[in-house]
Amino acid sequence: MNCTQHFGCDVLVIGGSTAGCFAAVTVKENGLDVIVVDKACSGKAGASIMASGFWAVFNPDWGMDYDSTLDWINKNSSYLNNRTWTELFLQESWGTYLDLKAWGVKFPVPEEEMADFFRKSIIGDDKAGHHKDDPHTHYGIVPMRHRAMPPALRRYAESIGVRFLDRVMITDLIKKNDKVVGAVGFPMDEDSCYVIQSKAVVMSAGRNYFKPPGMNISGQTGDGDAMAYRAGALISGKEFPDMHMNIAKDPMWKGNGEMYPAYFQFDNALGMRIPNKGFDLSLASTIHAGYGPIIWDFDKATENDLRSIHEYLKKRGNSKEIERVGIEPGKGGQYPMIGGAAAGGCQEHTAGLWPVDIDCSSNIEGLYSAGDSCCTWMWGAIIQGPPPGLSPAAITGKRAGAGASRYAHEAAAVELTCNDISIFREHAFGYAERRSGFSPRWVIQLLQNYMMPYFVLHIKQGNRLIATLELVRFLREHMVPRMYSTGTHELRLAHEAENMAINAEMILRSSLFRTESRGWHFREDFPSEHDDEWLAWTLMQQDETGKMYVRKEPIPKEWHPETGTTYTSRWLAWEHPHNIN
Amino acid sequence: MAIQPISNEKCLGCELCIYACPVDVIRMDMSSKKAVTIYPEDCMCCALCEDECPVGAIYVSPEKHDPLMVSWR
Repeated sequence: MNCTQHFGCDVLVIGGSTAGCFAAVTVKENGLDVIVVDKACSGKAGASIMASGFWAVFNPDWGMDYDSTLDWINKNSSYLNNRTWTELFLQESWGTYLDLKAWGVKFPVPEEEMADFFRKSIIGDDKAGHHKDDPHTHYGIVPMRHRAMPPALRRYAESIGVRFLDRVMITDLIKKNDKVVGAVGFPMDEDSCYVIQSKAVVMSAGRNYFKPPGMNISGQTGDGDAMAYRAGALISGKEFPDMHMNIAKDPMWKGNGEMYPAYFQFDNALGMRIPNKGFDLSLASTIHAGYGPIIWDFDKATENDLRSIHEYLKKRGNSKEIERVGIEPGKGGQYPMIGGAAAGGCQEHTAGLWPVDIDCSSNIEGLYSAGDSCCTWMWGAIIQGPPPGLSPAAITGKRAGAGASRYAHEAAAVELTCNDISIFREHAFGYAERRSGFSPRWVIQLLQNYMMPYFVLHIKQGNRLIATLELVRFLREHMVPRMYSTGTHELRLAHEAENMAINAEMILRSSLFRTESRGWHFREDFPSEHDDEWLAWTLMQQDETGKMYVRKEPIPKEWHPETGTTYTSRWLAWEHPHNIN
Repeated sequence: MAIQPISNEKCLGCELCIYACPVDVIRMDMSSKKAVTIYPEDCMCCALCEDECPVGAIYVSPEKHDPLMVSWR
């Protein structure tokens, strides 16, 4: 049996991307000792390294109006946003950009030119799909260069004394006396058990996906949501899906993120343009109705489109990915698309730990969450998206870091014994001790095949959700406990498979529970919004018998839409995406 | 498919690719002190290793082929 190495700190941050680094820096600035642990390498791998593009900001100096922006977000969220958090975005997002600048992140556009860039490229005479209800016309964007931010964040964090543990897979939170007091895991590069004791933990391990093709989100297996759930945390959301497409000829291509913002125009197989309205649902509905495949048609690109693509690629600085698959927009060409490049993901801030306060504290003492692990409901149900994720990750990171610091200042250290650790240690290495059973890769492959079809995650229906839930439940109960692993790589895969299965069940149960359609959650058997019942958030928790249960948390009455507004009037100026067919 | 075998001649053994990989595809060969693709089947084609490599020893193609779906494994 492997040896155990002990680490100690005031605050442990699990997941070292944007939210985790912001949290850790905040803790350190509060004078406390902090460790960031990541199963890959903070600053180099993970999702945030791909997080180029836009840092969303609200800045009145750019001509934005607070009340009208808030009103637009309320409508676009279909009144499912937590307005407190939405306003925190409006109030604090510009400050997070200033943090990045102060910490040495380089931006491709000088600050004095950003407002002009924003107006010309997003609001101006652009014909490439942006319109008056495009989200980016309501809050501003700071352009970012590919791979520029995470390394700078890490450098700054290390410069002020934040400690990092790279390539360490965390498998469980340590809980004692109903408090979270650290975490257990194992390093990828040695045969050892890591026990990290802390007074508080910030969970910032990111979203869950089912390791689908493309989008570079393969490390995102919902480990944080799953381990917090096992520890008794309330998990919220999960029913509002993400999708993303990719080109059929190279489903793993990651240049889609480079090209979409500049040329987001798609046709059905009959050559009819798919409206850029409630977009993922427009796409899924097109496929469901039998009008696929969906075509990315560069033959229809105008000169303005091509100029926009050129400018955008120049700003992002990652043209290699365009060259990698030989797409030359200027030469035209039609590219059939496949769905699910981000299958299983949920929309930003609509899935994760339930923050019981604006300090990102959870229902468990000592546990905080940030980034995509923190379900603030800042963007609600989301009609027109995708919503910003990066600057909200920074906002929640700073708030979780501050909250955890205040708690850790007051909290007494808890003494841990071998008995306290043993159950977590057994769980961490249980798959490695088995010599027979199921391959974690195969279990993950099964999960992908259960969950990924559009008719499970996007065009939902009660019987299909129940059928898929039964398969996932069987997989969780029968196959997951019988997985076996050889070496730390497969041990990590086994834990990821276990975590992904929990996330799959959460997605299915919350989707089944919400008996209406709202934003990007669409049920064929409940195709309308039901305000009487569903101006509410979903909450999930493990009961005493280990079963998952779901309940509603009503939205405060003062945030409900005005009495008498009709269903259609509350949608924005577009055709209702659910009626696309 | 996906990550190609790392050029043994070019590899400096700097380990940057190992830390760049989100899914632990690359490890060090302790005898040769070079990086090797030990779990290529798990490569997700993100190409971060290729971007990070200072000497162009790595190529990641955008094609990926998953194993056959079978009754048990």
